[in-house]
Amino acid sequence: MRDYRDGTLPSSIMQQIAKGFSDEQTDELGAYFAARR
Amino acid sequence: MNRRELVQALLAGGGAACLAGCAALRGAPRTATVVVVGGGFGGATAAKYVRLFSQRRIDVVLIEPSAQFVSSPLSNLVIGGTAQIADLTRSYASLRREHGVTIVRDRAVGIDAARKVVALARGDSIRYDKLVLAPGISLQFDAITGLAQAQAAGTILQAWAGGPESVGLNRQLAAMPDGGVFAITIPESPYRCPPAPYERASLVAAYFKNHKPRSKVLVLDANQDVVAMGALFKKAWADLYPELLEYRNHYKAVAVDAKTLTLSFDVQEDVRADVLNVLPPVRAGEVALHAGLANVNSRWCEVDFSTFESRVAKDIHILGDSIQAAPMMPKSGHMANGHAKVAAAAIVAELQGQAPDPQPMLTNTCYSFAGPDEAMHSAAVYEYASAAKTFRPVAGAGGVSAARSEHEAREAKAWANNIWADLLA
Repeated sequence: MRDYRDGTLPSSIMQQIAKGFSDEQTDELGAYFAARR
Repeated sequence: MNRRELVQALLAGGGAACLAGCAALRGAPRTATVVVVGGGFGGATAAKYVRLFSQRRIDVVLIEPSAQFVSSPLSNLVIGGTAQIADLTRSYASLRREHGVTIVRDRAVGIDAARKVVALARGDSIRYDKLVLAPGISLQFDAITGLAQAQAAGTILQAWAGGPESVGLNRQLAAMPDGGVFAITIPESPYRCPPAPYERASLVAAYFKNHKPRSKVLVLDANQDVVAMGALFKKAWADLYPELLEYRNHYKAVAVDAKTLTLSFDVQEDVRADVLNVLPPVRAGEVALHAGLANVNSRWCEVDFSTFESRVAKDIHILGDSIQAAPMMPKSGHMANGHAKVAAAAIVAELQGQAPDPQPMLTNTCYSFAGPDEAMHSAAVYEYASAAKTFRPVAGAGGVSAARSEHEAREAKAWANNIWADLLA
């Protein structure tokens, strides 16, 4: 998520979405998706 | 559903509903903790997520007249002839099977907010603790003289909710001789799915380019300019359909003549076409209008954005296209899906004696096809601003595509498959 946000990971849409979330929210999103694997 | 399925669904959904509901002859339970009206992007999501967030402890009844879910997003591909309606159709069965939602195939026709009862077309009524209303839109046929009759006769279609009219409009275009004119009229914003009319015009132009190259698409827009993704659409039209598609702004349709297929406007001269797609202004769904919940200009329903509870009636939560949207918030399936999750979380919290999330977030994505194999997007992230009691776009986030691409056409179809699974699977 952070790589999308800062553009390290190129994307059409993910950067625009990821920029809308704080570090804390991004961590929560990461934890959620990690738990679903 | 048959009787056996009903019993199974009610057993899965909670014993209390079964005791009351199994005795009902026509299959609707008499009471449920949460009743959801409408199985579209908002309602189906709400039904599923109340079950998920409550660990299946709260029983949910979903009232939906259609046997299957048919998506409006992607339905312009059906009009343009590069997708079938079956591609956009999904079953409601897993809401019942996987999540224990009781599905009642009927139409909600009335709400008694004081007694907390919703009435169904076939005569049943269901008492609720919490009602979720996701009735979509209703079309204001009376805003355009002659349109109601032309629609009833099948001469002038809207195809504004996917389904059979998308197929019907495709057939009208297929029957039109080469050299004909297709005219689409667009109402003043706000309306359902801002980029959709422009996407539709683009896909019809693509169909003409491939099959009827002497034909023409006329886009007659009541607005001052293209409402969504304007620069991207105009570039696509100039690149792909320079002789085929003509855009005219400030064309507000006020009357149609179904015999001569002629449109009249408030200011501009009449226009005749061979196939007409006249989109009237829209407002909240019928059941919300009848219940007196559309308190904004008699068109839209005002809600508390932290819970999506109606500002008019307690314990009625309203989602999707029927609401008075927050600033810069489009009426889209993706938004309705987000509204539903915020509302479902708030409803479960309240029923379980907890406070709702004080800072809900929403995202939106609208994909639009510029042709059958090229698409672009518009995206946004919204945060709840507690002082202003509304959602507002997060600064620096969101935006539109740099350019249309084949890559985004694949992403658009992946988006659809993912969100259909999110609300149904």
